[in-house]
Amino acid sequence: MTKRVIDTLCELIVEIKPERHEAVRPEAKLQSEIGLASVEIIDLVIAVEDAFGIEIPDDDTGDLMDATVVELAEHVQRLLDA
Amino acid sequence: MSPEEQFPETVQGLLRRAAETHAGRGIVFVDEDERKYTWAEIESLARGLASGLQARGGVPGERVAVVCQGLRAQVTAFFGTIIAGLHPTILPTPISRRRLEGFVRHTSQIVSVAQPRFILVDEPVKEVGEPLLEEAGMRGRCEVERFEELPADADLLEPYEPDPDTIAVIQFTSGSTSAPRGVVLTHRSVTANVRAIVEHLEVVADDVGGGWLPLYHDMGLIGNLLGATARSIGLVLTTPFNFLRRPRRWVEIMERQRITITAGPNVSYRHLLERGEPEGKDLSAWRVAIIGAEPIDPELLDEFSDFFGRVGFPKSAFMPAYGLAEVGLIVTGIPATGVYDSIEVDRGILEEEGKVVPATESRTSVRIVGVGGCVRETAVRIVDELGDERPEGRVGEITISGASLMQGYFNNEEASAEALRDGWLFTGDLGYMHDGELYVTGRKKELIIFQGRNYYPQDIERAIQSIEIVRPGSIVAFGTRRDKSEGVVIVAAPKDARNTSGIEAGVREVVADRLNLPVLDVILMESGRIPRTTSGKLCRGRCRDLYEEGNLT
Repeated sequence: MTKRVIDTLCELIVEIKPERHEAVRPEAKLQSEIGLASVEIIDLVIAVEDAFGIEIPDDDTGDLMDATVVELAEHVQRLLDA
Repeated sequence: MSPEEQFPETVQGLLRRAAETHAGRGIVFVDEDERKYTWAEIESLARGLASGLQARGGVPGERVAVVCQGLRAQVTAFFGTIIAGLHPTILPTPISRRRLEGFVRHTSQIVSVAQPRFILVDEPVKEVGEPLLEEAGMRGRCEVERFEELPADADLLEPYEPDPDTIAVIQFTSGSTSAPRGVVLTHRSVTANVRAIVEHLEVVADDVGGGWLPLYHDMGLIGNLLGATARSIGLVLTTPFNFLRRPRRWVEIMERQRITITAGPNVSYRHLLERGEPEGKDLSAWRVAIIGAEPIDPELLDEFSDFFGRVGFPKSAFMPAYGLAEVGLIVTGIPATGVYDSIEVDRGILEEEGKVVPATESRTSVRIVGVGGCVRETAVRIVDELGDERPEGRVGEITISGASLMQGYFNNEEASAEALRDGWLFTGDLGYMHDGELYVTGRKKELIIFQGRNYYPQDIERAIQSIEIVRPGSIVAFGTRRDKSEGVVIVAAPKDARNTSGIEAGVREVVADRLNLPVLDVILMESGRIPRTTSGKLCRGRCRDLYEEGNLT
């Protein structure tokens, strides 16, 4: 379903955290598995907004802190479909 | 600023003076309604809150834990608590509703050290009050109060004038979990440091401070809030979340509000550099950009000055500074109109012999940014392990004395006696003096500094011990900083060499969950191969060196 979204997210994450590129997989959790710091997760949210032309509400940003890549992708897809 | 200036000796004295001067100036809370609250209005709100604490039975000397999401609530609660003679401790608030459990576990440790009479919560985070109180084991001795529901009638306020040598505020050092330390600052020490700040920065009436640092951080509370109060200048406040989330908006606010003074660690300037998009803006009002709270990255200073120079940021605005919560905030800083400088030294000789030798091309070097000379009523001495002073250009522990030293750590005589000896604060930081200027080279203790927050390796190692398949006592955590990557590295030995597959994921999960800290790397090795001292203690420093050389495998 959201393969294209997942691929773009993975690219954006690798751009932010190149040294962890091996850990960037669809089912990996952003913070505890990929190792993004909270600042980097917020960076990612901004980059995602720019890449897809969407706006992710603040309340969701807090909840996305330790989402998996797939969960984030589903979230992005919902906003794209809305 | 004439030398005979009468400077207030209490925090409420600072606020009183701000309320009486510069009537039009005050604080703009940009996340709320962007309306300005004048210093007189802030004082009036604070007096109202003070009357509420009195009405609830609060008496001078008791503590108040402030857990409010709203910045106006935090500022009101901070000053109001002090006006009533109680001692405020501002705590962080949860970032996500899904992670309340971790927040409560972490924050309750501070509550149990502070032993507050009240936990003051505001509407957006009201549900954390009771769990915090419960987890800290304070039921029956502490009450949760709602900020919005406290009676606020400044006319009923019983006036209270504190002795300047009594406690003003208890500031918890960030990051540490198992044994948080509450830095006790008296009114006299706080006002001495605030005075040093405004004089060192040469703050004038037209300056406007811009702050997004949390008020539970010394730079946010003492620097941004009290610094602005002391000169009754304008202050524009946002939260760390909103700053990080909307860097472009912050740049717009800086332009619109003509912000002249900011402060932050490396990561905040890096964030603006990468995501601020200042093109077309006019930031020429910006004249002081304090940078500190961790080793300063000289390349960042260069890149930022080049890029933001195009929109009016003067290179002389950067003010590398050194300080810590144990003296309020500031110890040294380069002059307000000076341009930062750095020295390129031989890394090997610096680390092995503690000597400063200019770098040669054939060996690896490190560039160290000078953090300036001492501010008023403050002295720095570099000492060796016996406490004797080291000569210029020789690395030793940075010790500090002066008017703004803390009284000690709250209810922790052992830690206080270790830190304060004969009127000198032993910081655990390493550095050297050169031409009257301080250069910070690292940490004596194995404290891990990540994005301006302090973490004790012991806390991280203890958290990892809870993983069943890891061998207890064979876990090492250390911080590393090489090139662009910085972070914490974990070395761990598996209990059973055939059962290692879940360890890395488990380590990352437990460290993220308990300490909100991402792990850069996890290295598994047999217990016997982890570097130890002759007495069998784990050698964190040796592990780090081997790791950075690429030889820890």
